[in-house]
Amino acid sequence: MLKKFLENKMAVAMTGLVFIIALIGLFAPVLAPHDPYATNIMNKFAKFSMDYPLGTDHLGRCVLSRMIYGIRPTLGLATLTMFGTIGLGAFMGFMAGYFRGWIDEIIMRVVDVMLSFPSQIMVFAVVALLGIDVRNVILANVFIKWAWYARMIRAGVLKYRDKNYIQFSRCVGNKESFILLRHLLPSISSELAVLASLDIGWAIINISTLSFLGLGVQAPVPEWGAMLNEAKNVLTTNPVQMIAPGIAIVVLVTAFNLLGDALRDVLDPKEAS
Amino acid sequence: MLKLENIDVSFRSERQVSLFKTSRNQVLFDVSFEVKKGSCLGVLGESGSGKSTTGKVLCGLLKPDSGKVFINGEDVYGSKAGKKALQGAISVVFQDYTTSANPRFQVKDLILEGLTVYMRRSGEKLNIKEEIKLLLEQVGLNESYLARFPHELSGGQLQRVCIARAIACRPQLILLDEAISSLDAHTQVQIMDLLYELKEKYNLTYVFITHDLTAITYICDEVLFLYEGKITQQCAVAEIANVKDPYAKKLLESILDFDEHEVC
Repeated sequence: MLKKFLENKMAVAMTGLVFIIALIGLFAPVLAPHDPYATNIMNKFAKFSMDYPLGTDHLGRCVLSRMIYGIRPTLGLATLTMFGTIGLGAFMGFMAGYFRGWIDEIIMRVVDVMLSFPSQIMVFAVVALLGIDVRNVILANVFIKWAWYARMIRAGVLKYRDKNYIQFSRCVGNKESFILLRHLLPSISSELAVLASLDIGWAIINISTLSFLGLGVQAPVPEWGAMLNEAKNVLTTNPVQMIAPGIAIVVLVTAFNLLGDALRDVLDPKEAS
Repeated sequence: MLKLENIDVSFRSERQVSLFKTSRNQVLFDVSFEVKKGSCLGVLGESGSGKSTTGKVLCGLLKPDSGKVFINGEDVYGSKAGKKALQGAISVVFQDYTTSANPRFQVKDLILEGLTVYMRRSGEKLNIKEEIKLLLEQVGLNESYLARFPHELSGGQLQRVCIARAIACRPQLILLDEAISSLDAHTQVQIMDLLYELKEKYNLTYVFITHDLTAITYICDEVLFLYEGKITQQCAVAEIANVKDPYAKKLLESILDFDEHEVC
């Protein structure tokens, strides 16, 4: 498995890229040239320079420093959202796919209801209902997106639940927990990994979108979507402001999506190594 | 020991004609037979005759529409206790060895699963390492196989591991669902010899599901002909030459013809 992973250039490159970005975010206080909150109104919209590599924003804050500090909420919240959705979705999918019967019916009908609404609208509705706060954004994302994962994971469970090795376990009366944790969970872990990497890209975009609309991370906390939001106000006079956070979001999301693609290839046993 | 009484099984058909009524395909019709302790019962039939469905019913994986399964006098599908009794007494080896072993388990983990089930049931503590080694030896494999993965074994070896796993939980009865059908002729004989040896050693009872008449004559005491979900004939293997049922006769003749043809 590891060998196959290392042979896949795309997987290695994308994991490396994400890893480096995460490290930069982790060591933000060391790497950032300026305090991301320090304003200097006299020096607003400064051009790229040695002192301010990406210039300054409308309050004269260092854009590069804000970008670096912005990794923390962007990536951190997205990861949290991902774990939340995958966790809830996997649990529900497992219950539905493994136990079938009325549990399956109930969970799947709830999923149908959740999926029948456009997800973005639902997120807005939930955030509007609970109040504007980062925690609510995560809650809303988890609450909306789990249904989709529950359905995907249920399909995976259905594929494996009648395999002979599980039939054997069931026939000789092994514990349900053994079947679930030792047989089923490892079998669909590859599918889970792919879903997770795709989901995190979606979460980044969504959190950025909400921050851009002013519903997510609030000023003055540096977050890429929120930075785009601030840049949008000066779109006509200083379009350069958009470039850094815009490109950063595109690159990070693309990295996660490509990683998801590559993971699928790596974890698929039918793919020749 | 194991008794099936008037078993009917049907499946929901794929194509539903009416909106409110569900149409079903009946697969087994009024199947009744008994497996005696220490015997080997062969279930013979062509594909689609309901052999494997019968197997599923008698190993507790498929609840029949009607009819009862008894293990040592206890109703299997009637109560939790009955199901427990069956699970404690039965073990199974499947035809398709590629899916009967979890591809992520090593050989020792595969056998360990059978052992843990036994240990939990009996409360007995076993020396796991020794026990796994012993089981492997009994199926003719040595220690070097312990850390291998299923895909690193040949079909015959993997089927041996599956047999080791099946006897690891110390059953009284083993259901062999086409257990040798996907192996080559030479390995088939080896596995059947092994099965015979184990049967003598542990005083096991076998239910041997197959479409292969030669295998049945090799290992079984009794044979049951299944045709389109109905039992057409049940007789001792020694009397197989003078079966009366037309279908059973046809099956026998086709094989004999084939043998003669080969000689020419």
